Amino acid sequence: MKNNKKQKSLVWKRLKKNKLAVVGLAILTIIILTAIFSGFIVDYEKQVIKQNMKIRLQPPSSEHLLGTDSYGRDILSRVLYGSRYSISLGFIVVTFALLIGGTIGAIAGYFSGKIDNVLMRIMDIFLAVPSVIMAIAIVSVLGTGFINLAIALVISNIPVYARLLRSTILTVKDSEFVEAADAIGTSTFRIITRHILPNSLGPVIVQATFSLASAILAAAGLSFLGIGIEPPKPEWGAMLTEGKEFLRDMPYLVIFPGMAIAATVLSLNLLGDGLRDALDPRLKK
Amino acid sequence: MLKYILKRFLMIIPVMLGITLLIFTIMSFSSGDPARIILGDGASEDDILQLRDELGLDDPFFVRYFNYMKNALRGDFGRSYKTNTPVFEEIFSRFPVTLILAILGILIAIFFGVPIGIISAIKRYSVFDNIGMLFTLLLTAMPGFWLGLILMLFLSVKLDVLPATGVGSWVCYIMPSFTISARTMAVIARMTRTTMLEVIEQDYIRTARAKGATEYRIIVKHALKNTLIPVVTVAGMNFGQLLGGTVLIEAVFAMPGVGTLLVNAIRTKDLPIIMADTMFIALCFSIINLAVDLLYSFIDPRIKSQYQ
Amino acid sequence: MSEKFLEIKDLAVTYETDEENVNAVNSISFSLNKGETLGIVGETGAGKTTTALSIMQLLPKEVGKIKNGSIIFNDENLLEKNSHYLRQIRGEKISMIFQDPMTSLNPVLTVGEQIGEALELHNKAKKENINQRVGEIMELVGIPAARKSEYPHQFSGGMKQRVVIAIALACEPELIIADEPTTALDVTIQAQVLDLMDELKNTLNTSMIMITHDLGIVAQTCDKVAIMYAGEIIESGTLEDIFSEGNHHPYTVGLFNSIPKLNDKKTRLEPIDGLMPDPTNLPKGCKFHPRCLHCMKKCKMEEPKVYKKGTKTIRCHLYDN
Repeated sequence: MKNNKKQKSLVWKRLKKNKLAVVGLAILTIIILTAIFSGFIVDYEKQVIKQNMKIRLQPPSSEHLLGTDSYGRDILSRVLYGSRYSISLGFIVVTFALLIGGTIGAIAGYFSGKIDNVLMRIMDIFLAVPSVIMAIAIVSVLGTGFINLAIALVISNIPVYARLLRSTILTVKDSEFVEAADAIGTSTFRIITRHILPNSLGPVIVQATFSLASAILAAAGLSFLGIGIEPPKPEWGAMLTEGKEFLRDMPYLVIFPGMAIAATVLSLNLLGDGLRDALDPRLKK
Repeated sequence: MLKYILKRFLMIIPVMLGITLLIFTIMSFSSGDPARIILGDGASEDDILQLRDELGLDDPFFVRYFNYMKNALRGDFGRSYKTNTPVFEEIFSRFPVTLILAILGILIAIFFGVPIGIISAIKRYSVFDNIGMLFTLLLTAMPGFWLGLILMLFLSVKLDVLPATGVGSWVCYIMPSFTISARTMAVIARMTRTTMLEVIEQDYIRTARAKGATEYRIIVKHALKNTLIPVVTVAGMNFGQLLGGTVLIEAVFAMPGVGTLLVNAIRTKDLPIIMADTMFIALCFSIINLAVDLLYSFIDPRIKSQYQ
Repeated sequence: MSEKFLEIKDLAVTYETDEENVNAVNSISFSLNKGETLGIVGETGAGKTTTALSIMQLLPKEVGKIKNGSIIFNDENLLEKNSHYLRQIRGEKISMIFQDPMTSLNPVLTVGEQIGEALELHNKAKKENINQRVGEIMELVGIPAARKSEYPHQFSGGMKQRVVIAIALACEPELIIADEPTTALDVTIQAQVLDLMDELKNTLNTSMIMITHDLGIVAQTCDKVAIMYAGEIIESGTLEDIFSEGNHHPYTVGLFNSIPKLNDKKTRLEPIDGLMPDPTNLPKGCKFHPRCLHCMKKCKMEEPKVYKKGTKTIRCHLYDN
């Protein structure tokens, strides 16, 4: 356990050295804080969804820093509030996909044989459909809305984690320290929880960071298509659909929500790259 | 080799059966009575019951699946609830648009991505490398549909050099295919760079240097092929994402491909279209994966000899 | 024929990374005559491979730096030559047999292509003759010429090493540097490969630098021996000088005591206590003093001078006058 702590601090030390990863972490922290506190910063009823046709489609001004949309709503307030959807969706999707997919993968990887075969063939079938299409198909059955979107994205992300956990567990299982633990009569459960899982953690954390980013992108994409989170909720992708209509007159409507998505994804990618290098210094020269 | 191709091709069949079963299962949870959707709200109960019977909607799940597959194998995917045209026709009239878009997208991605990655690796830490890597970093973070809108804003609205929407002429494909390639190109460029940097550290590169080979020859003859092996994997994996991404890009540029067909079908609950469209995209994806696998054996002799 | 055609003087090599500087080779000198084989012996990390790579000028870019010295090959100082000149030397005049045959061959090129490449690069044969010449070289090292269109993964370890040797021999170079050519091989294959190299050396009259940690291989193949420790040559001489009784460096004595002898009744080997010093932080004075059984006060303070007697040199305070 002591060793584990030491390794954690080592990873943190390496991560701190990586400037891009620190930048990513900083941006991400700001976005997460915004998501948490946006309910206090802006008033949902008064600033986010209340329409005021008198001041529609105004360019940025001191009153409305990013301008207003086609219903006279403040774009800045909406972009800030929109972070809640993306961030919470992202975390929910990754957590559940990891729990379900991870369990499937862990079972397949640890017990191998027939169980492994059956589970993995099922996962292969899921993987044979591009994840966006899979999510679209599920949403088409469940209907739109936050929870349905989350379910669709969880299902389409499960196979990724199942595969990842399975392969890392297979690698760790064959390593000598697990053989050693087995040889001295450690129980299966203890081998899994004490030896295998902690050692599979690195790749999982890295994957989680990247799939947080792709879940956010997918959620925005589906909302953009009108089959995710629907207006008037200020989901970034949904805002882009609205903005698309006014591309000629009010490009701000398209620019700012898109930048918010890009910044979130960028910060996660930077952090993910940094974590990967920090966990596996061999790769970085 | 031929045997291997055949074997791999046959392996698509169980996967396709699995996919159809999966999609059929998902769709069977769909709310709303298809008969009512087809006949509209004004229809009488009797008419609805009769249509339900005709469509076999009250049969058990596996009977319905079996019947669907039996017809599907003959190219009959049913008729659209909305337009009453055969689903097969609907999909095939739109397929070329999507196919052109996806193929142009992956070609552009490889055509630019691989050289950018190689030059960045050879001139590591140079201005080109730094700018290239920053640029690709930004591209991987941009949602494709947003990039499309931004390009449209500059090239169509502001500069008016390219048409914003439609599929009237080949010019219409320029912006969408670049948009769809962007992310994949960035991923390929970064992957190529990393792999190339690893490859040029290998012992066999030192062996080549010891023979007196020039740097150019070392890159082209000794490092490139080895670099391409993982790059092909990444390109293949991304082609699936790219294919999924066409749905969004078609929506942005109002292109009549299978993606727009799918989205419209979801809005109108046109089940036969949704089902066939999804299966169709999955089939394309499986064929691409097969192609990537075969491409491997051409690049990597270690894989080739496994199947000879 | 005993002209000096390779002479290395005061060569010093450092690996510079962000974190530390590794002094891999510290001012070594040796020379080699035509047709001779020099054995460089030492533990892992003594600087043997670095010395070899310096002669080829294939040290890792940006990291490996030659700090001092000269490498005279056929009256030209290789350290003053441009990369174009060096490329003409590499593979044609000097070639190298690398340590690990598993990683030294390109997995995506056929062995024939890889053997023929040096011929092609140095215009040793006409295009249409290359193929035939490759076949000849392969037969020479004991690989059926018919296998030239196979890929490295289709060969066993010993066969791969033969391919590596064939690559080095392709242009019939004047000097072959063999870096632990048999370490990765089984003992039986090892013997075959060594015999093969000996035979080839005799037929082609090439000079060789044999880098190894195995004194048995030295006894079997070398004319001269240099023993390296922590980047320095601590003892050198003819094979006779090193393997016969007489004055020796304590490290050399230690090396010989750590290998088993058939006619000796001793039951235990005598390993040298301690480890090679950290090359980023070498000890003051004689670099061997922390492990030396004869360590004196002087050894901790002053670097020993070279003691010469005939063909033999020893770098040790024990032999100070």
